[in-house]
Amino acid sequence: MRGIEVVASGLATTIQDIGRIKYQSAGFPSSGAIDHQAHCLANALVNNEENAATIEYCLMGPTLKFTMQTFIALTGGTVQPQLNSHIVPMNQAVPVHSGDVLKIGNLKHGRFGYLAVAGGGIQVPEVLGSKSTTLRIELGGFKGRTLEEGDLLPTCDVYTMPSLASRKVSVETNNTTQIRFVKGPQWNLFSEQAQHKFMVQTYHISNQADRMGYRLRGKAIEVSQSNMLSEGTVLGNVQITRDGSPIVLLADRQTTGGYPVIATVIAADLGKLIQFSNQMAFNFVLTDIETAVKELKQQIKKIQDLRKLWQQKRYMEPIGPARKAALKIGKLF
Amino acid sequence: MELKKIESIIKLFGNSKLTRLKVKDGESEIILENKIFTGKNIVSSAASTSASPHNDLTAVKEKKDQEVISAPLVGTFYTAEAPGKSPFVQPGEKVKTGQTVGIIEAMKMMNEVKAKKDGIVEKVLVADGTAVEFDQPLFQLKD
Amino acid sequence: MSLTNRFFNLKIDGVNNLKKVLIANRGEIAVRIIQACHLLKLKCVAVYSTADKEALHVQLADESVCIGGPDSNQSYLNQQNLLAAAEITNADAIHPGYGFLSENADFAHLCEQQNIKFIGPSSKVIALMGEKANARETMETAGVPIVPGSPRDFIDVDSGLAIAKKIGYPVMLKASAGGGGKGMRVIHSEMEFKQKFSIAQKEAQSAFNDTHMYEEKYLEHPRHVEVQLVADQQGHVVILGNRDCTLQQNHQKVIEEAPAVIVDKATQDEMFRVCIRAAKQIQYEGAGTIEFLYDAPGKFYFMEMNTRIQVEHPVTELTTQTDIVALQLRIARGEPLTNFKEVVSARGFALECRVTAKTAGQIKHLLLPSGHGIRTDRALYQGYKVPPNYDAMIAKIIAYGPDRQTTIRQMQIAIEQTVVEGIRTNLDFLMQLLQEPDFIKNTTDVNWIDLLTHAK
Repeated sequence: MRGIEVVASGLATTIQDIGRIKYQSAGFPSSGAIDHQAHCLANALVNNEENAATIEYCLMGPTLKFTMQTFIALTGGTVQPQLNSHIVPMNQAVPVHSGDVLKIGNLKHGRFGYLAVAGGGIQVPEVLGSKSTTLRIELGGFKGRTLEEGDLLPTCDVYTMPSLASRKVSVETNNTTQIRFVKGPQWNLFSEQAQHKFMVQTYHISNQADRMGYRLRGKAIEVSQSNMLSEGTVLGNVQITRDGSPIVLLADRQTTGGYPVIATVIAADLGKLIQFSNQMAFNFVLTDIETAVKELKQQIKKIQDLRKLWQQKRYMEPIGPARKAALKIGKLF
Repeated sequence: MELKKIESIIKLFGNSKLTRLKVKDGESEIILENKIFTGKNIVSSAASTSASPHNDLTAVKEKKDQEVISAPLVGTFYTAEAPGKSPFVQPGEKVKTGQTVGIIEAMKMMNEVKAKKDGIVEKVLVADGTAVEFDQPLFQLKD
Repeated sequence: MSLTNRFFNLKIDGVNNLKKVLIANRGEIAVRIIQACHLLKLKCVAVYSTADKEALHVQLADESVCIGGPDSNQSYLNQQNLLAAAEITNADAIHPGYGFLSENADFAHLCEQQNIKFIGPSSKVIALMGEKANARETMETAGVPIVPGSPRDFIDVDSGLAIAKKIGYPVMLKASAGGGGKGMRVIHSEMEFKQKFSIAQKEAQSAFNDTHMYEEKYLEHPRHVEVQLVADQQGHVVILGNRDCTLQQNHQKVIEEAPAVIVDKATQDEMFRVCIRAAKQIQYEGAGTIEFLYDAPGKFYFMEMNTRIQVEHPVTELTTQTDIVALQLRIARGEPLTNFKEVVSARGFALECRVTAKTAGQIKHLLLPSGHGIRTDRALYQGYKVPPNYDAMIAKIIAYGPDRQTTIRQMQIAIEQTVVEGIRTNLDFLMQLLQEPDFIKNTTDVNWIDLLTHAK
């Protein structure tokens, strides 16, 4: 079988898509790429649908050997990827050939990175409508686990890529340290003083940070010790634990939670938050639902616009590559 | 026919004053023709096939530009102004740039062929009255 | 009528003494003509420039003559050398192919004077159709519709309005002295006319110092539909169906189809009828094409007549089971077209893609497509060096199938498998075009490719 061979696994490397979205009520965490925007961009770059499975890696990228021809794109946290010892750019569609070795290396900035592979991504079986991995319950992805040396990930041979030369973007690094939120369902359970404190103090991401959630470092928020019933969780919820420290719930979050939720980070700012380093000081800023929706729509539109642009540029020189059989025959001469 | 044998026939023919020689040996046949005044021989046909006009036109080719005067147009090449008259130039004669060295007739028009550089005519490469194509070498010069 | 009948049950009445044909062309069409000559057992002479010494047509012909330097003006357009080549090889006819001297009335006239048969119509007819205004007028007299326009120039808005009312909106307003889009406006209504006229006129005034305006019917989504005909020396005219050559880039045809499925039966019949009448009226001889802009059922307008074989003739050959180049030769030697119906109806569907080189250079690897319903006309071979001096078209890939959708699919497969390495070609471009939904749904117009390729 041909595909991608894992030479070195990297750290917490998993297969992810946009998540197992309809099964939270049945107790299955939604999972999916923790940096949704970066995952979608990687797929757009290689002309995949946004739900195609990518390889997600954390802090240390894997080394992979391709045993087929395709196109790849790397997005998310900054790396210096090397293809056969030559540095290749991020945020760009890059052709790879059988025998090529891609060493992604350590992340210089950010926590999570993505590798998208043309031809519909990593061809692992869908479980409950998704290819994403939920490690905690060993579900989905590649055998429900992180990738290991020697794994062979099935992918498709791809020879054609419309507008290949145009498929690159410069991803601007947003230097703001403000993370916007809307009031959480238990916002009113917190005293005004606590609410104020949540908004003015600076936070850091603690060492307890993974795909389930990020525990934040900051001064304790006074929280009512009265018991509340468990509720379904929402991506980006900021719950305050009994000791007064906030946890931002992320892709692999538990499906229900009993801690009061003071805030919900808006979806458009989640990608930024999850890539913050431990040293990064940031604070929370209140916004409204309308802004949250508008910002998310804008983010979605950015990628849609890129797709449209590349579609429009498909007749700009150099065109294609557009002919698979000819490329294959050409190799025989 | 062995290559050695053909070689010796060509040598003999070259030293003779013959203009045409046909040698038949079983299946194979060789015709040698002397089409050029200077006595250079061309093997125009070997074996039992006849030469096509195409082959004749391209038989003498690939001379370096600086050493030859080539046909500037397509037509019939004449070495002299009129039948019976003496040729414009003979081997061994000096030619000067711009001097008329021959005529090409095309569409009932006589076009003069002129030398493009000074030199001495070493060989006339095309026989009087031969059809020539563009760029076909007509004269070989030496300095 | 079977193929054999058409070809070999010939009436040889009045056949002249055509024995050897000089082909005043190069590339695939020279190869195509040589093949037709050999089919009819005619000898043929190839001519070539010094840049084409290693060209395929030189090898395939019975004789060959170098006629000049790489520049076309020195060789393939060099009338004197071409005629001299015919003279020294005793050729009694010249086939001009397409391009080069194929529509040069002077050259045809020279051939006539030299008693060499120019394969095509008389020099007079070539001259008549070569001059745009004359051609329009001649066609109009023969009852061929032309784009409705103002009979003469005008300078005041009222005259313009009156004409616009007569020809119907939308109209294209142009500066009579015009060019470069100055003073040009597309106008959709009387009100718009009133609004835009004076600005357009002022533009014309400042650009050309001339206030004369001209207007004609504006076609919003015109398609290019053409009619192939052959006419013999006895006055028979035979229609070999039509073609749709709407897919053009910078006025160069890219993909051609036969028949033109966009045209309804009634309109097609009317087109054929006027073409027969026009060809008879001008005493046409040989293969010719009348090109139209097609707007809507019943609405088609004369553009020009091409008095030669066209690049896209194979799509007609496949759908009418004819050999147009052989017919040209047979007509030239005086054979009458008595074995044909006046209109040969098309069967099946054919598509042609023009493969062009974007760079000159040596073809290192070559695999041309073949298989069911695939024909390739070319002058390529592996190792051939494409010279930079001539037209970029290096091959034509033609597909023939039962219907448009099947044929498009056959063509996609053929183009996908074509390998031309060493030079850059338009094969990827063709592949993408063949997959465009607009093309597949047949909803394109003559500007469609230009709009696609100029997208920012």
